[in-house]
Amino acid sequence: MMGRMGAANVEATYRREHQRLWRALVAFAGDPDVASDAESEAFTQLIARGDAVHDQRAWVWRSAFRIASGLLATRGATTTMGSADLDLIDTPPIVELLSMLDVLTDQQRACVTLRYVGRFTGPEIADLLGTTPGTVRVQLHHAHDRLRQTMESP
Amino acid sequence: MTDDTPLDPDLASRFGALDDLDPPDTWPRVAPSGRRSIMVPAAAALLALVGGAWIWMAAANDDGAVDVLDVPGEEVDVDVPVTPDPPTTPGIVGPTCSTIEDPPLVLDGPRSADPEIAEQQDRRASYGFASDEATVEALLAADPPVVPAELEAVYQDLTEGLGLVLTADEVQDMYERQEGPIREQSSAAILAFADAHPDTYAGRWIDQRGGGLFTLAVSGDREAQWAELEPQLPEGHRVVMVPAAHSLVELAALQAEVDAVLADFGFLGSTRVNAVIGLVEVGVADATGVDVAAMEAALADLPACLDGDVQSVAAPSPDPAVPSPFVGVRTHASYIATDEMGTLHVATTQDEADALWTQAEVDGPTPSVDEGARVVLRFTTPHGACPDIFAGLRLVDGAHEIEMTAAGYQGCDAVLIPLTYIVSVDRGPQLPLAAGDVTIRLPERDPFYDAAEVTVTLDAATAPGTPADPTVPDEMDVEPRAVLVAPTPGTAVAELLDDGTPVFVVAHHDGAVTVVDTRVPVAVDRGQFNEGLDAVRRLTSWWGGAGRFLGGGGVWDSYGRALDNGAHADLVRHIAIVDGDQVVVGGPSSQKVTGDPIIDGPAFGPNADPLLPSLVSVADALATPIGTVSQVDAVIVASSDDAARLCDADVSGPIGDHETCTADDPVIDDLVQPSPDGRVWTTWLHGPILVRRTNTGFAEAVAMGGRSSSAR
Repeated sequence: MMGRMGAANVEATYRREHQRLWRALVAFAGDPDVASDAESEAFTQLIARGDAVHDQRAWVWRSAFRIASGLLATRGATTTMGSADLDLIDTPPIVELLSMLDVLTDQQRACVTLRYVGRFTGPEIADLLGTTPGTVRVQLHHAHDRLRQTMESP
Repeated sequence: MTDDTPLDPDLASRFGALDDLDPPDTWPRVAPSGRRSIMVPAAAALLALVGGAWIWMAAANDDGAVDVLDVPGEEVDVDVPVTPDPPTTPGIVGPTCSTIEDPPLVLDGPRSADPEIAEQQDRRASYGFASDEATVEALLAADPPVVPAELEAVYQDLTEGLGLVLTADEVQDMYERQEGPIREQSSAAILAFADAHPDTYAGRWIDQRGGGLFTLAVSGDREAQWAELEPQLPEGHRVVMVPAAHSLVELAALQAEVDAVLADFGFLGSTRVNAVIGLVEVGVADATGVDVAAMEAALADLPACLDGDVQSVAAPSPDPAVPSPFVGVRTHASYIATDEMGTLHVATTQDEADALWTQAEVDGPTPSVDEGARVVLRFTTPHGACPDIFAGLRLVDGAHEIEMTAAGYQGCDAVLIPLTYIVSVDRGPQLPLAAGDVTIRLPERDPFYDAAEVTVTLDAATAPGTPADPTVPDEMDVEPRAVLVAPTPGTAVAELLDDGTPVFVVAHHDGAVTVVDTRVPVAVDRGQFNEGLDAVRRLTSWWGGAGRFLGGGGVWDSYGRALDNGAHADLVRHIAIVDGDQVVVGGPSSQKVTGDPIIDGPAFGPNADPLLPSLVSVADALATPIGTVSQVDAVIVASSDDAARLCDADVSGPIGDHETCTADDPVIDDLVQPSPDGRVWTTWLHGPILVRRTNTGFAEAVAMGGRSSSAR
């Protein structure tokens, strides 16, 4: 149940986290619509939970990424990216970055995105993804290898 | 950072490209009706509806777990809840979603006295595996199972992610539930069936307790539909078909009906179809100002349940001795401690507050004791890397104890950082109004310091509940700064004064009008990320449903009075004289709005974001008359050895490239605070920036962008 002041606290969390979270979700999902929907959904749920969530920042990052995963699983089978999406990310470096990330597995992409965009530590990423710090280290290692190969390829 | 994978510089540079992406506003919108606007395209809305069940069920878990979202595809593992009879508690709509509970977990035998075994019994039972004590004990003692290479990732997820101890066969079983070929073929058949029967298809999920049954809900003739589906299912399938009162299509129509019914109630929240329990869930985030009883009555005949804060706004505080946290408190400054840990200072007069503030050597306006209606505190307490938040005073054993809320994020408990807070607390919500001695205590924190107590004598203060008295007219003693159209009573609109200052004009229900500056007051937060840029502000937005302003982490009532800890001071109120259907607006008003801030007030009309002057270049802003407020396409560059300057927005890129921002660029007069310890730093704050022209440059900077960089 949310205290009446809780919405304001969530709003403060939103102000702090919005830009990084949305950009991280774009990098993870490769789709601005998915990023926006996942972030909006996560904050809607956070508002509904309000004071029951002890650590709003961790909760909203964790939830947004998982919601994005769910949306990708659902949309991937039936929809393609619309032109509006492409307009948002038509800057060549961004297109190139998203293309690079596309070679990674979902978990590798989540780890590397949380590390580079979210600036989370390995243990924090493990906490967010519900896995172990060791797994995150391995995933980041594999992700680095694959991304370096991609960057070095002609 | 410790134990961490280092960042690859090349890769970090590539990710830097994302900084050029401007995120859209994804804050859940409150429509004029109070409902969240649909934010997904129509094509996705249908998909979200199908998938909505599992997303929502994830939200329904009290522990915050959303692990069901990890399940590939659209099915989820849920325990089908039991819908109770509607409760009769006044003020609560029946049924509330929270009263729809999971059925109790049934174990194969008694629960073990050994907590580790008991926990594993519960986990295994929740996935439909044998859960008797002997089996579980043997599994815990056994070596990990040998699983095929292709199942190693699944096994890792199950053990590390879900904490399950399983046999090799059970790992195989879980694989087949989640992603095996039988599941995929079953899913394909169910999806095809759903496409063919939109009028009866009512959702699908995985019943994990039942052993991973792929459950398909349908309305209408179940036997006939099963006879049609079964031949399409693969051999060895686990599909079951269960009856549903409403199809998804019907629930979607009911959702629209519920939306229409709730359109006039102005609550913050949203509606959503929950296929598993066959109801439309109304997520209520805040019902301030909402007539909950009327909402109950309006929904009485609809299959809807309420979730969230559905308490009536009239609900009294159960214990007046325990004030609501964050109400009537303000944090004026927090910074790396200058006092010893465990020290507490209390100011009850303005002279004492001035001294307390001056001793701390912080800049900004001195906290006001508001003619004895407020007490100012300065105390120092340690915390982890995530600063705690001052929540208020709590009466414990005759003393008013300082209560903090811990940020508590992982990694925040290890590092001990002493922080000094300067706060003020309102009497009434936080301290007695009657004259007498009160003791304020900083509780002990073992092993760092013992409790500190200060006893002060307070004079009687104004009784709470005195209504705001906006009927006392302002007097226009300066030249009017704008003549605006008066809004309809019960609404608020965003306007610009003639000099570009963004304001909100609030027409109260009684016809009085308040005009407040939209800019959030400044709090000193020295030593944080934007070091030295303490005076950069944010803007508020108007939340009509609750009659409040929100912004920068603070909340203000419709008169601009600070309501919570994040609001460091009242919003600046302008002189406003109603003249027929016009409002003549002057400069800042010195007239105090009496009475307590309105915590639970009447709802107003639509929400609004502030209006902003057109975006201009630095040169254009410099060309405006002194006093003009402009929105400038610019970057603030500040450093410890130079003034803060407003530079053209093409100043971007890595730290060190700020040579394009030169000593010829205009200064923001009131921005940079000197580093108390002589540290060397540079900070950028990307715009647009809202600033007021001064005779030497600019002042009163408001950050409209938010991206910042900093280096030491």
